[in-house]
Amino acid sequence: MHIIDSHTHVDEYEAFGWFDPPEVIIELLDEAGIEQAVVMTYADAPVLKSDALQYIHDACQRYPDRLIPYARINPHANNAAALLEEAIVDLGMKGLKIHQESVTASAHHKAVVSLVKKAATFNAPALFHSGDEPLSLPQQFARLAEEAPEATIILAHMGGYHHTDDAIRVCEKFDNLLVDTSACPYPHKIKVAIERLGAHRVLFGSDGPGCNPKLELQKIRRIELSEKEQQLILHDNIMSILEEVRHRVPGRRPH
Amino acid sequence: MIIDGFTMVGTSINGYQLTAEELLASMSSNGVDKSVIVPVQPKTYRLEPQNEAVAVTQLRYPDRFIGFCRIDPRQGEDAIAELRRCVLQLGLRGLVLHPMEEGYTINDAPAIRLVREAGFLGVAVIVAAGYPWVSHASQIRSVAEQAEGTTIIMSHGGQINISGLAQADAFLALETCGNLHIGTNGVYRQDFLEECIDAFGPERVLFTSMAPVFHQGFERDRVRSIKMKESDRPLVLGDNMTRILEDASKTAYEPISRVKESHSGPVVRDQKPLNKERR
Repeated sequence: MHIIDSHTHVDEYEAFGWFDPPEVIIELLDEAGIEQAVVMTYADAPVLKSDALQYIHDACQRYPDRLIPYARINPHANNAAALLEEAIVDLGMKGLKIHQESVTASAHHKAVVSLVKKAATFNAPALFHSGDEPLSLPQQFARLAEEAPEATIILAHMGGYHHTDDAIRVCEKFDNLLVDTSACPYPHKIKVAIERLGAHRVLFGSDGPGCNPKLELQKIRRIELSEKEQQLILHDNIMSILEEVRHRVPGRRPH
Repeated sequence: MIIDGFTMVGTSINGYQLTAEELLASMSSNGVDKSVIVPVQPKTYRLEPQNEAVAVTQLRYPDRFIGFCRIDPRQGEDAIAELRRCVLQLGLRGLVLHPMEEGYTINDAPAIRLVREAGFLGVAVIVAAGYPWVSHASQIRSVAEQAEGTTIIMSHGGQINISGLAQADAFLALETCGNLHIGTNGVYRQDFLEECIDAFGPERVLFTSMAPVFHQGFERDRVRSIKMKESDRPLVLGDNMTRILEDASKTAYEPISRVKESHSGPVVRDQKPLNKERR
């Protein structure tokens, strides 16, 4: 089965102490038997890392058959919308990543909503951190989901350690919310998410290379899923999202 | 010898449950030889009968289970007495503190006193660690500094934060307190475990599943996935826990004089230390 890891990182960012050039994730993907991975930086453009978009673009250019770029952008930046447009139209990126703790804004902050709606104009998904931290709580996504019903919004980590049930509950309420399995420490909760949301709304992700993709894949292997469910979670769901992304703005040519 | 250093047996008020027989089945299917078993918080809120149940289970399956007691430090003198009862009379081999479920802060005076008492008795303490308000690594570090004679194991790698933002504090705690160790259950980022092993040695990391909250088999997978020297992996998988239990037994009597010096409250010195005899 062709597997796509929908959540990994490539970055060399001294402040966080995480040095993961593209070769690191490629090696781990090979170990795990994973063909492709969505990648993003640890640091947000343009505030923490001014060249973050170019960096991730260059990394993917080195492994065009393996790595799929998302743009990690701070919504508070004055040029956030322009950066996202540049990333998708000119650099061929496939999605937006926002980490609320990193950008100090909850999912319903107006700057976040605005950028997510911008992503939706390209049919590009918005991948969010979700967990137990004050700006990342799953129920905070309800307002965003209401304000941007046209957007595809993915809650990474399924609510972390103590908000997994909340992540499933909020996704039950809003059809445009999905979850990814990355770093979720509970295999049985992934099973619950599949039962309550449907396999079509659960994406396999690892949050590698810090979280080992092979281990993360074990979670999916350990829960008893049908072949069809595995196909959706490990490949089809993310592929169908990525295929819908439009890399053009009416009336504007790519640079 | 593969030892799961932290499991919980019973029906918890917090919505999870695990019987001894279910745990044995899980151990068999996941290649775990022994498990440390700990009481859950029951619906009655009373931990003492749970400690007795764990002692009975340990006696029933002495080759498979190592019993630790669970105590709420806010019981004050009664908590100290319960620890001594559990170790000296019931033969339990360690103490577990779960500040999140019981509802106290790990570095409040009653908890520190209980941790020190565990050291005097020669038993290790597992702390359900990483809960930001009650058992953050920086708070446990403070406890460890005030209870240098006690071996303390922090569950969750000492950090529950799926951004990785608590790792620095867990790392600092390990760096500054040689009596601190970490359990592997649920740790965010396997490379954190690898960095800890590189920095502090494989002796400071122990396989813990915290089943049934976490899946014992998947947590076993987690340890298997750590990139480390294969010759060191047995330490993490069980030898460290064996050493901690043995080390504790060696020092069980020595600190009794310190107990006399340290406590003005009632101390049951005339009780026979059954755990020493058992060994």
